[in-house]
Amino acid sequence: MHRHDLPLRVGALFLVVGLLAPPGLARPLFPAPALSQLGPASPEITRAREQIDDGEFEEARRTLQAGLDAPDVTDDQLVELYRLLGLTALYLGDENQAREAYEKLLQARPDYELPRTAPPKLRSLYARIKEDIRSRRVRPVTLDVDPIPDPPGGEPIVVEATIQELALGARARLFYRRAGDQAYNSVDFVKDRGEKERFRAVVPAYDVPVEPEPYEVEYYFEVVDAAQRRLAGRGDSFQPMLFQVAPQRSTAAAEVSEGRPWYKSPWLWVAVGAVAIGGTAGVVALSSSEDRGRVPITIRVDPSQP
Amino acid sequence: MSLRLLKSLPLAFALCACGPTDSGTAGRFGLDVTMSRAVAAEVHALQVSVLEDGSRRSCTELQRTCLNTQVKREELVVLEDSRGNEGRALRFTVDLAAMQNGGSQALEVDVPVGRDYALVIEAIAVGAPSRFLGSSCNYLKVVNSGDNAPVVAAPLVLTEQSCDPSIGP
Repeated sequence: MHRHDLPLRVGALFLVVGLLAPPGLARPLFPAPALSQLGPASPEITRAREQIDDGEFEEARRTLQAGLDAPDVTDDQLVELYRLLGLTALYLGDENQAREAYEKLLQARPDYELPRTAPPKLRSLYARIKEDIRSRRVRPVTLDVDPIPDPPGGEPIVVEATIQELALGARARLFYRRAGDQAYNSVDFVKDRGEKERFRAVVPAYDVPVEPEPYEVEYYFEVVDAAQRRLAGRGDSFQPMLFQVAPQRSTAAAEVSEGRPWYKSPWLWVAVGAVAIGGTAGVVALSSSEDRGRVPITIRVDPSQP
Repeated sequence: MSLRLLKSLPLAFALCACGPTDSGTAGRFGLDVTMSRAVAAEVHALQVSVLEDGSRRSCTELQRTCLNTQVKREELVVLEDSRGNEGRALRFTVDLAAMQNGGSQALEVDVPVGRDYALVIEAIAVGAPSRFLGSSCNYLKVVNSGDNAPVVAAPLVLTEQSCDPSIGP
């Protein structure tokens, strides 16, 4: 064998081995992502994807359930969690759970389609679920919330509500505006960590400041779906409900009365002084004034009133 | 000047400042009442009454029907007009021609100096007996001979009722 033939022979050997190798060993330069590795990420989603790829479906199911119970999950993450849960349930032969997961996925994303790489069994189940959802009524959302009592002002207003059958992608909000203003502000109801159907909205303190005079705030509650269609509510923008923010004086007086004995309150002594001066002045004024005050009344016809 | 006298000066100043001003004869606030066209088409006279304990009255209720069916005569204070006529309710004939041409009519009622009143103006249609067309009820926190805060009056709208609003002097 000539020495200069060696590189040629090694190259031919690699070519022969490559051609004869079984198809399972052939890998593309950029492999397509596994079925589970699509969509947004969170620690649970990442872990569940790895578990699914490793065939650990029971563990993946537990991870996904933990992910669904976690607070502050975005809509995109929920969609991905339900997609993976449906996939996992199907691998485990639990068609009911797979159906439930895909129903929730479809509530949030009615136009969601499985990737073409999805197994035929999965695609078939998914098509059946979509057909079932199309042919039946959507469960109504119920909102149970009490009117807001008159707040003291200068403090956040916490409103709690019970919302049932809140679909993915739907939003529950509290709209409010100072009476006389044009536009409403809004705050979202956020799920309570403790209870599944309990939600909470908080009007920030800076939107309800304490002022010398009381003022009214108009508000209403509304649940809308992803297309901004109203699903439930209490009051609306044209017929809002009202609460009145208490004036500064009463708030200050309340704080003082909680913090120190009543006889040490400066307001008490201011009041005593005012009564003493006012009473004396009143006696002086009444004794030296006329018996009657004249009330001039002007009557006009209002042409705008029919 | 002794120290005690010096200490009493602020109180003396405060008391001096609280005395009545030289107000002349008329009070300083006005009651500007608008009347709907439906009332103006039929009204013949306006009857003014003033109730004690205004804050405990519901003006919304008082405006529903004749005042004399809702309160006792003794609850009305004695009023006086600019001509010196006295009564628990004062009647003023309406100058319809002036008002329908966009003008206004001024009435003057002398009310005893005091606090917490409700002033009710009833629109009356001519007839025998006279008919109630509607009323404007307004809370008056205080009436004195000095300066008073302006009062925004409730508009007089047609609330026709089959009752005779007449109140004796």
